[in-house]
Amino acid sequence: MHASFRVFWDAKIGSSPEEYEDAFWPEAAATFARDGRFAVADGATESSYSRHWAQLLVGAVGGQGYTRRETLIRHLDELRTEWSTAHVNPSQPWYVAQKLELGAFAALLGVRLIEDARGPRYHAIAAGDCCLVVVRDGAQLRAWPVEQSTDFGSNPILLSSVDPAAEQRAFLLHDAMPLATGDTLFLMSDALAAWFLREAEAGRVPWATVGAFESGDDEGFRAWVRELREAGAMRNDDVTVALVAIE
Amino acid sequence: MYQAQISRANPSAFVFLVDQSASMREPWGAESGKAKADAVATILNRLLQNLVLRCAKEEGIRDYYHVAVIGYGASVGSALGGSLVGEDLIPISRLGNNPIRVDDVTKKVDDGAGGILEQQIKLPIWVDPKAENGTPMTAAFGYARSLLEPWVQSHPDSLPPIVVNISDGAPTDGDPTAAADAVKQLTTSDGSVLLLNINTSSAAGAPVEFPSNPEVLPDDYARLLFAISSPLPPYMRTAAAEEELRVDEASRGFTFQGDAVATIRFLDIGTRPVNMAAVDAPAT
Repeated sequence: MHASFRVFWDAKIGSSPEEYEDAFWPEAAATFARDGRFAVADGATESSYSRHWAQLLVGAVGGQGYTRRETLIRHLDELRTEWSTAHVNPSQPWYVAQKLELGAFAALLGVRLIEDARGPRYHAIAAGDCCLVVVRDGAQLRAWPVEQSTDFGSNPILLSSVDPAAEQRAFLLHDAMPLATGDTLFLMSDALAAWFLREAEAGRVPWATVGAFESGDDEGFRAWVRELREAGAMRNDDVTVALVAIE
Repeated sequence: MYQAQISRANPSAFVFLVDQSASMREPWGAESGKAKADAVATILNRLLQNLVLRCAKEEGIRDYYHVAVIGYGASVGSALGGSLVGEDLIPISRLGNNPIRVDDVTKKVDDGAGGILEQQIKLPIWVDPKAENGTPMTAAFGYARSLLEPWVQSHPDSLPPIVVNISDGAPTDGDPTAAADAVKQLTTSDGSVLLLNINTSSAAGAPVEFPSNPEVLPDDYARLLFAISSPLPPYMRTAAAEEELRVDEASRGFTFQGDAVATIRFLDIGTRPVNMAAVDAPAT
């Protein structure tokens, strides 16, 4: 099994690229043999330093390899400490200090590909409303943990940078499934995922539309996202999609 | 209508009108022992704090809102103190960065293991209590219109501003209905300015929240404030329903009460962001 990875992203309208608060792993297009780790996180816009929190979470899954649910929970407190100590500054204004106390929040989706005697498969962990869609033979095989477009919109339960890891145990879900050559995995933050599932439910093939963007065609992807936003077909939010093609 | 996304390019506005007449020295309903003026100042300061926090990011405060706090009593004008004296409708970053002072308060919190921890918290103060002279409510609505008329012209596609009037009742400068209507007639492409009224009562009875029928109200002043209050737009009805309040299409942005907690809830519903570029935490 080989896996090729490419990723596209765009900041919400009205925000600069520096204010983009999703995060992904790996940081650039890449290919993997036998084993690969991938992640997308979506930092909550209203919290402060949520981009850093999202980056710590994808780094924990992708860089440090905390792809098992229990392993990640065990290390969450270290990540929280790293997040807090990076931003404490006695001279900061009252509102920055109070936002720090409230913490940052992020949704996380992490995927690990494995191939052993049983064949290729994935293990995934998720908290919140980032979404994994598996497409096989031109059909949507699985959408997880959000299964249908109407499930977006309510307040998802996100990983907090200040609440103890033990309290967040229940938020982190696990999923696994065998894979086949030719499968494509789409790891998406919520705005694009909601559009994607809506299209699929209407009998259309969003995986073909998104899958048509070649690696590096960032401008083409952003122009397409802009059109969807302007047409009211996609919520104005940060957008990220990571594609993992099993070859 | 009432669906425009709030962003730095397309901010919204809040104008708080605060009754500072002599009668606000009276105790406030269930909050006996505390004068209405003190209770209202406390509630307003916490509300302003929450609005600032909603817009605060690591790099500073994003100007999603413009805010005015107008007092009416001995005179009509900005109720903000410190370096903001005399300033009316200002970007929320200017408000957040310029409180009169930041009080250090010790708060007792549960330590999660059966004990109590003392926590130091900082409470920014922008408005100090004041209570003197009459209740020039008509003039206050005129003042609000003078602030918002140019504002809606320069923000034609913004979420319509919200005016919140906090008073214990009787205007002393005539019937404010026409002046209130003139405020509500201001529009953006997304709808008309909304007027919400909080009638602080010295009676400790059960609060009346978002009524649809003036018959339930105890006096003519309450019925007057009900009559000039805007019907709730759908997004506020949804927010009220989420708080398990009974609302219908005829419900008005009005509350009559002597209860601080219910007042805070009313203000939370009335100022909750409908569609903010910085959406309500912890949504992503």
